[in-house]
Amino acid sequence: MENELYKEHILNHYRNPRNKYALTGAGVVGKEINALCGDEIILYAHADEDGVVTTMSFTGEGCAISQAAASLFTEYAKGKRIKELQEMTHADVERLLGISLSTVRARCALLPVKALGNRISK
Amino acid sequence: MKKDIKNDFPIFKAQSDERPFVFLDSAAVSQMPQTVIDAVSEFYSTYKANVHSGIYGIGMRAVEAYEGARNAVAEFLSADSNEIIFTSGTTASLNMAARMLESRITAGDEIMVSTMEHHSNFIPWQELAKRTNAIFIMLPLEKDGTLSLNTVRAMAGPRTKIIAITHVSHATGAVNDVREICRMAHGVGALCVVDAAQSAPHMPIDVRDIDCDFLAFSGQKVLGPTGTGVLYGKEKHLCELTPVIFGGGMIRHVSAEDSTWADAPQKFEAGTPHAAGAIGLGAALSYIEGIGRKEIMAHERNLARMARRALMNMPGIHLYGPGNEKETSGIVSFTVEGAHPHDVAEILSRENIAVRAGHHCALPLMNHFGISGTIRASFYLYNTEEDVERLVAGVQKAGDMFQV
Ligand SMILES: Cc1ncc(COP(=O)(O)O)c(C=O)c1O
Repeated sequence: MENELYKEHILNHYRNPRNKYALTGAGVVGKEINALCGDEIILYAHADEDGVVTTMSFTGEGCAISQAAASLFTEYAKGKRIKELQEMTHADVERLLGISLSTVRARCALLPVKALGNRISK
Repeated sequence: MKKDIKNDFPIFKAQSDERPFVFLDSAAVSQMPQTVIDAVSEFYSTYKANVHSGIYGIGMRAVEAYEGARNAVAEFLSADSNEIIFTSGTTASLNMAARMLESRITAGDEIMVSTMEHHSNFIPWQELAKRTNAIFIMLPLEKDGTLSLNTVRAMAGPRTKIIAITHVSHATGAVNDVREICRMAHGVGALCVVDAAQSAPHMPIDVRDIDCDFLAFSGQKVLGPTGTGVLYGKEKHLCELTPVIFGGGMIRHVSAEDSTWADAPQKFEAGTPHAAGAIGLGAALSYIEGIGRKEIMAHERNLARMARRALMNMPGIHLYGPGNEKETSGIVSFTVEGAHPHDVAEILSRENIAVRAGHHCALPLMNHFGISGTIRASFYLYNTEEDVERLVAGVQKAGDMFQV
């Protein structure tokens, strides 16, 4: 795993985040705040009756790591079960982002996962 | 400032790689000189004993060292020893003061804080107001994040009972004229509590001259150990007020009917205190006094001025806090356009430079500026002009990466 945190694809997702909007009529909405920095991410998703994500989006501001993580997460989520997504670990998000993360920065990257875990279904 | 001062602090040797370690987070935790580490270590290795129990050799030595540290703190603040309560830090001191003063507050009274307070000089007063149905008032700030004395003058009135105010803002370095604010508080019959967490390490403090009723600071920010702190209270208050924490070492008499308390400050120090910490704190203050707080302040202001001037000329950098350099301490708070403060701190960290990034436990102040956080570089006696140059180069690098 590369030691460089701000690799080009991370900066790319930070500058041009994918799926960054509030999904209207989302069946699933979840929010998480990073207590350390106050950054907040809200996740929105549509899922079918088996709990498989069909669409996912996010809103909120944050650091390059949390924004890139949210952007990549919403892309990755398509076709995955919510249950499996919300159980993603430090190692899983490292794989998703393609970078290694310290304990502190892993909290930034796990923000979208935690937000999904806090979901309320509508 | 003496040239090889970093040699007194083992952390710089331990943390330097091919590049010297640049530590710019002393406003959170300052580093300890070897003399402080030795004082703590000597207690643990040669005379560790409870300061409440010892009628034996090392017990008596522990009491003498612990009370010696209290005397050192008293001298540091121009107070009397019986006005010094050891705590675990500023947060503990301020919470304790708020509990102690609860008996003085009734429904409808006003408790005032400024919008620049650290959460630990904010929430304890907000909670006190909730418990007593008092009115919690936040003094608004000027655009640059400073507090105008006119605001205090206009808002303090006959119902005001407590004004809790920071001496120096930990987030911008703005200095408050606490002497004048205490005068105004007393003019309307209120008490004034000063948070000196960011002033005690850096400037001379004379509690008689300031005339504050209470004052708090933390050991870890004055070159001392973590988990140590001080609450100063005027003797007449400490005599009159009752303890808020009960247990061993603070009583005069205990019976089934009732208990009575020892004299201040012992009645406010229930339980076994952090003697090693207090002794380390005493050693830290004597190290500081060996250099002199006037000299320390001048040194830090010079470094902060250098940093501000260099950053001011860089595109996309926003500085926060008073523009008037005379009114600030050695703290420089800024943001880099397009880059989150944590990302900037991370890039600096890869250059072996430690800064603080985030809201600094001052959300009301961040709201005032309309931002989520800043990058804060705080200077202390061991920082150098080279540290400033490294910081500026690092910020430049971060700016380039995020394409300001
Ligand atoms: C102005 C101010 N007040 C209070 C505190 C809290 O100090 P401590 O965490 O040592 O209790 C700090 C430290 O961050 C501070 O800067």
